[in-house]
Amino acid sequence: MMGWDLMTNHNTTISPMQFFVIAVNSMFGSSLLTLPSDLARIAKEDMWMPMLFGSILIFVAFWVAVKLSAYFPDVTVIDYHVLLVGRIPGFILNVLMILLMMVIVGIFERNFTIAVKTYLLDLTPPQVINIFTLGLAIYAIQYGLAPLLRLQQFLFAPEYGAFLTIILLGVLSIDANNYQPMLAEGITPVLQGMIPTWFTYTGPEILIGFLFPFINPKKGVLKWGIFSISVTACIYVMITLIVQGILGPTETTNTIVPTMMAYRYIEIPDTFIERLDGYLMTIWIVISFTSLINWLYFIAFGIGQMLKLESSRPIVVLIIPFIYYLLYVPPNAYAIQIITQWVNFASLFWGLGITPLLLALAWLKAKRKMPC
Amino acid sequence: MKKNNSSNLNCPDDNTIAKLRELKSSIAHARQVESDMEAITRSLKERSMDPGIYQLTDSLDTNVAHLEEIFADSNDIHIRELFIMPLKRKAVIVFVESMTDQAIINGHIMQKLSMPPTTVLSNPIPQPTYEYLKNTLLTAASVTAAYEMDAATKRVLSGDTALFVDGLSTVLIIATRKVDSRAVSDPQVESDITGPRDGFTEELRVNITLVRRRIKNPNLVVKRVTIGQRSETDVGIIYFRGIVNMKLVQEVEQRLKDLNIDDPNVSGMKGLLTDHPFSPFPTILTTERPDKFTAALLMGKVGIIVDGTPYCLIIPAMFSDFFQANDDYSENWLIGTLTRISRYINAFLGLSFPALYVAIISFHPAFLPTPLALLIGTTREGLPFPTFIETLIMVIILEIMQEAGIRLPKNVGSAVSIVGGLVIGDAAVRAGLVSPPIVIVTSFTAIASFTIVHHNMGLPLRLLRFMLMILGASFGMFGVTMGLLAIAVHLATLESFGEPYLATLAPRNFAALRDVKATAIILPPNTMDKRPAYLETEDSLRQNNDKE
Repeated sequence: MMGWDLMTNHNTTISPMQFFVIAVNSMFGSSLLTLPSDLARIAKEDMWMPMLFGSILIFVAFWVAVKLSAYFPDVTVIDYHVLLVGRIPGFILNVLMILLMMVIVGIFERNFTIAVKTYLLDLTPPQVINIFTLGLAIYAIQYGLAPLLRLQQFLFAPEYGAFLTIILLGVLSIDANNYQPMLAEGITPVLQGMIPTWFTYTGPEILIGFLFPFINPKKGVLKWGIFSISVTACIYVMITLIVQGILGPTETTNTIVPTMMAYRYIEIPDTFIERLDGYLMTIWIVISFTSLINWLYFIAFGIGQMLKLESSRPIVVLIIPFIYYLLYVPPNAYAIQIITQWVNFASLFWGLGITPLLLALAWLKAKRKMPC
Repeated sequence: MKKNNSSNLNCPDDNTIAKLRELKSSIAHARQVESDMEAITRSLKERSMDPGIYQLTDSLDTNVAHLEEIFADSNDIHIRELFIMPLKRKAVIVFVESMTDQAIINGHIMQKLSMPPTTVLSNPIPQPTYEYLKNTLLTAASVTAAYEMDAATKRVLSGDTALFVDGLSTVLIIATRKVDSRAVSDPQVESDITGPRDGFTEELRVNITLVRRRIKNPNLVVKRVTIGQRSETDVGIIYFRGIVNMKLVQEVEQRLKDLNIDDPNVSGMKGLLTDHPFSPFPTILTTERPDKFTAALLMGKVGIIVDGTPYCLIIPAMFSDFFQANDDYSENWLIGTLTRISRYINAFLGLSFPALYVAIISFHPAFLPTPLALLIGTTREGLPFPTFIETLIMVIILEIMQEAGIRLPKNVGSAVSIVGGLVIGDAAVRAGLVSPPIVIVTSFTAIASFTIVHHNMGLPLRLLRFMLMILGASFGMFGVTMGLLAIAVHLATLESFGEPYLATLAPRNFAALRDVKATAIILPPNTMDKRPAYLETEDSLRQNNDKE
């Protein structure tokens, strides 16, 4: 099965450490820019708690996905769906999964466009931003996984170094009163808030299905995957805490892109530090791009696998117009919000509903085969 | 009638004038035909000569006739007849006057062959064999045999002397090469503070000596090949047996073999060897420092030395290699790390600083702290050009000055810096053509890009600077970021002889992180005990610990 390959003809294997990079990058979609506003509406002063506990959901989903993949160490998710549930149902599952991934990418990209337009290029038509980003994505993806990985690894340290520096500067503007009172309405809002956080974490539990056969050694997958989720959760909680500390829950609820707004407000007298939103947005372009190329790559790869193509290269070019079309299906920000909620549910259902079912099925099948 | 005649003589009628003109043009035409004919006969006579078509025979006269055809018209090639007394045979020596050591020819060939034998031979006159000539008569240190005309001429053109003996179809090649080369001197382009002071020269043998003097190990392999259809240039492939990955050596040899060029020094051999001829980034490292060259060989890389150029090639070259200087290792490792990281940052600024300036000033003044934004705003008041044009002018002037600085003779070069610094910097600001900040931006960009160790890496940055400026002027920070991302994507797709260009900065696994600690940063010397993982060397340990 290793004969076919991720787009090019090299026999690519990746290490668990490289999976860590892919996992972190795939999680950092652009939903984080909008997320605190949902959280603030639901959990108010405790908005950082659902962010922290939400990571537990993804831990579980990731663990399930790894266990499921471990039953089929040589094939990707596209193939084992068919092996598990039969040809037609497997095909339907695959189509649904690819569609789900496409919609997720669409929402990421649309949110990203809104943020770029609002904070960097207010006079430029958003289509220009999309064409630019998607065009560069085609260039980045078509050489296969190995260059894509090198790009992500090359950018990883400077990208997240600069990002964390800017994020941490926000600490200087925090107003401690914004965190009070704690758990005023009990634990229920915190638990409810965990649902929308899913969308910021989604990524590794889907992509591991594609990557598992290529990871060598497979021993470290779970460890590095959980490490990537923990790192991401720490950064997310930190950002939520800082945004809450700067804006306060009420204002966070009323802003479309609260993270950016919070960093626009930063001004520390006599330090030369003010209005960090532009810098954050610039770094965000890089982060968002590395996330986008991961998703697009695995969509193209998945379609190529479904169609049993030797190379997924042409698929890359073919899916881009479709993604571009998806971007402008929702007419306004409100529609995006509704769609995001539905996609969030769908993705949650996929990760914690369908995948565990498949795992149970795989377990049963394996047990039946085993001599007692 | 008479009158008529005389008038005819004094002023010839139109008919005669026309005939004279015709004659004149005929003469001119004949001259043209003559020179054309001459060119044709010469091109027939002096057609491209392939010595390979001539067979060596045991008849001296035939061989000499062939030699005269091969070396026709070249006055510097001497074909000198002599008589070998001990053998009582005619012979001929062939050599290039300017490339040979006359003392060897006189003392060890001419004298020994033309003198009567000092000992009275008891036997009859011996047969002229290669062994007899080599072992008994000739006293030169190195005598070899050539069995084909092609090989013999090649050796003659390299400075050796060929001895053709009547009745012998083997040619004796006597090493008489004399090297007139530039003395080994300081590297001109790659300067170091504490590194050694010798640099490669144009002579292959001198360069190989410089390497061998540093690595006195029989495992250092120097393979000689000939490259160039017309120039027949000697090229040395150098590697360290037991360290290097032989797959790499094979790849290098194959690519050199596949080269179809006239002259490697003129035809841009580097461009033909590289994996990506359309990329602006260099994927082969050139160096004129033997210390750097030997360090690369010990790391497991392959070196190529071309006769006629002091720049030797190191293969494969990673992106990070262009930012490494030997000084980094001779200083304290903390300082080495600092300077190396600063080099990467400088390269980034040298590439993008003007673009960032254009983007921020034209699109997002809010990026700047308020006092700074106000200050720049005041200095820009009343300027005739928009920021992009202003920056473009200054960057183009910078390019012109850099080029002028290289082309001008050294003693005039200082004039450029005076004109550049004073006139363009100060006067342009005073005249109100450009704002003072842009002068700072441009000069900072120039200085930042000068810190890149290898000149070849500075060149693509100069080119891409313009691309980023245009993107910055069109799409602000979004454009600049996208442009930088595009460059990163491009770097990620590049390969150097099959090795990923970013291999050292994007390690394959946790163990390969050691590549990062030796490239992006430097750790204490005792921790650098392994060779780079991406080279997949046969022996990955730098010191053989088993021996201890």
